Amino acid sequence: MPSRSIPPANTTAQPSQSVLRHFATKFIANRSGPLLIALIVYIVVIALIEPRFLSLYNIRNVMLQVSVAGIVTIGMTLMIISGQIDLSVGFLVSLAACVMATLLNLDMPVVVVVLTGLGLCVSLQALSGFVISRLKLESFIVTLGLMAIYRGIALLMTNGAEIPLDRKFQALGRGRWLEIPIPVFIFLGVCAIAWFILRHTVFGRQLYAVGENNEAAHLAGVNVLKFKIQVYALHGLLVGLAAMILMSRIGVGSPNMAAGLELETIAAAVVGGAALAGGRGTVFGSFLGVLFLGIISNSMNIIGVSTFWQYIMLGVVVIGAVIAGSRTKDKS
Amino acid sequence: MAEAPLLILRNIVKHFGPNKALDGINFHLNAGEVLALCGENGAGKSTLVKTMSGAHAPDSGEIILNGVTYPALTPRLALEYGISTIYQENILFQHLKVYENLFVGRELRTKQGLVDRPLMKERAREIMRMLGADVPIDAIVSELGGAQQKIVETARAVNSDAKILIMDEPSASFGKHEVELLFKVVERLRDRGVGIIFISHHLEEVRRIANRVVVLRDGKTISDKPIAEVQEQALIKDMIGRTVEEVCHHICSATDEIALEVDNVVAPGVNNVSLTLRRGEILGLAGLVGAGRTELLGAIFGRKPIESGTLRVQGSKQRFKSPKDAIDAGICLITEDRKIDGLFLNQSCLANIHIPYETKRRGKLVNWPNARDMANDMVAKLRIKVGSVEQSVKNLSGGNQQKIILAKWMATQPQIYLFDEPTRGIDIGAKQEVYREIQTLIEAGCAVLIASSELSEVVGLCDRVAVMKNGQITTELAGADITEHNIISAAL
Repeated sequence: MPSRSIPPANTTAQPSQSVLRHFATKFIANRSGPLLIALIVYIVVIALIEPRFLSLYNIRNVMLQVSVAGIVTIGMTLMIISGQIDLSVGFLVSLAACVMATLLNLDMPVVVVVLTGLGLCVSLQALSGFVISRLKLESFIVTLGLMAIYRGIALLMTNGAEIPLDRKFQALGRGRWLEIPIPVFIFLGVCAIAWFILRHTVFGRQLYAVGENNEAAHLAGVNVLKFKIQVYALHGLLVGLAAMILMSRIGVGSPNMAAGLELETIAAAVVGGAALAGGRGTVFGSFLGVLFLGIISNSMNIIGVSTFWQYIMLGVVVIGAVIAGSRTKDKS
Repeated sequence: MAEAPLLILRNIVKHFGPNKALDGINFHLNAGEVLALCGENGAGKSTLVKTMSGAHAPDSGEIILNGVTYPALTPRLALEYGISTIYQENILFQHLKVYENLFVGRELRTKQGLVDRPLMKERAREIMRMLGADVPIDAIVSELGGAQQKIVETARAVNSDAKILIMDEPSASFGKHEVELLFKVVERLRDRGVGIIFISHHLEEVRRIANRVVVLRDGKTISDKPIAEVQEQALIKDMIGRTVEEVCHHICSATDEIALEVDNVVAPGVNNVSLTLRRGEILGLAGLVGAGRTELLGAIFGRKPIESGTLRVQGSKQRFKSPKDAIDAGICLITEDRKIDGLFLNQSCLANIHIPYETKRRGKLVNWPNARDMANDMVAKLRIKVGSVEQSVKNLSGGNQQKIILAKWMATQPQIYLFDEPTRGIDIGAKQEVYREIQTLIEAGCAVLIASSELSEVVGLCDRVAVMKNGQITTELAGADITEHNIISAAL
């Protein structure tokens, strides 16, 4: 597009202008708009302080670092929209990785290992979903308990030690295609699929309905029990996927390898605009959220800020995002 | 000349952005009177209440309290003068006991500075005695009925030495009996010289309790008359600005075809109920609150499984395990409280309207253009006032919210409509539109079952009326036997 200031005599520029305005208004109305602006401002500031931040190497690094948490964040977003929360993800990832690592070291075929890992996560999540919604329990409490249980099982299984993979199963986490790490493709693919599910499927629309008002959804004909089990199972699939990638990337299965992942992913989803009360959240928002948190820790490393300060910065961003979110909600 | 009024409002004007919510309000409140404040939703009642409680500052005008003129009140000032407000929504602490609620924030203390429970209980008992109310002061509030909870709120106002009590639709969800309980308390307070401003959509209640009626419309004071001079038709005309022949009228279009047959059904709160509902017919369910009307509708809709008995829909026997099954069989339920289990409040009109449809259709993908067209059609057909279907339903008026619920069910094309309090908390204009839609439904051959506490509605709308008591249908009325008197005597 020519950016001359001479006004064109014909009206061909008109439609593109209105398209531009359309996108501008849509962007402002979009809840993720302010977050995207904040992220861009942050990137610009960091890049001015330390140009290496925008190097191809570093961008690739950030994307690789956020992909595991990103995949789980998408699962967590689905859970949060449906009015649930899952504190057990960190240790479920660890447990699944330990199980898979053990099987790999027994020289099981990769197919069996993968299916076992995914199957374990899906079935454990579906089971907890069933128990939670059938008995009408608080997901917060139950998954808090499960977090401890998974941790205990993983520790018992491994005696607290790491299980090295001895260069097996490396392609998934360390492979590249067109110089871009495979996990990044998987993460972006997960985002795209989740976006499609939320936006264009009846399941996705019901997810918001169930999260906002469980009883109203039940009365509108949604089989809430079956529905929630499906949400948990879907979430479990993503957790299993993340476990495989993480294990492959770092080359070990360890009972503490993903400790703290639950808080990281909840924080990312909340920064992205998901509401713990349910009924609100977007894939794009969570994508930005996880990216923002990843960029913060990466950038601080690059400019040499101590890890201790990073925690404080992380907390400030999470609380700041919640405050910003509540302000925009008031205005509308 | 009698003593000076407790409160005088002069030319109160309040804008919200470009909207004029109050446009020169003038009225006064005397000690020892019940002043009914009437008007449609959006007439400015809530804004006016908030002006008097100090939550809003008016843009211009004067508020005269005890002879002192103020441009605006603050919540603190209002409290100091003894202006207490009981809002529509219950603000009691549900898990605390009655007497604890009366003293929240002003607990009585012993000399040692500890909470003096015996003294608080004694005071609470005194207040209840003074109000002539039979509310156990040791009960947990959540265990009390709606009317008793309102009485506790009233008692709390009394405990803070209220001279002016503003009650915003206190009886919106009550049956006749409960309303009477509350009114006895209101009368006691009035006789002790408290000035009471009473807001209600129920004209019967206004007539029963008020000494004077002030009507608001479009933020202006339209009329101010003693109750003796108030005529219902004139009052309605003042409220909506046009005459209405009848609030609800109805043309019978019942057929002989049976749509729904309930046979000896037992369910939680429902004790051996049988009824039949024909296509094109409106059957009313009357009774006191707690008589089992809501439970019966819930049992028909599969909300709780039926313990024994049978349901037949269009002749075929059904056993609903969940609302989903009932929806598939062509039944829908418009629940009692749209905000609790009717709407997805933070979501758009579009999302609200298309969810049951998509769910019933069992489609996998949403056809957005289709869904949008359907929602737009519904909005036009039911004359729902929204800017666009993308607008959130939270900010719609009660009447428009109720129409959204009607729209979402009409999209699933049910044959049987179960209404639980179809016009609760919506204004007269919207009520009439709901009645008109119900009329259209039966003309199209649908069957309608309406549970309502509003007797004029039951009498005006229904072809037959079943009166419930203790989970059973005790009486069935038809034709000329459907009178308020007959319904009440069967319900008590």
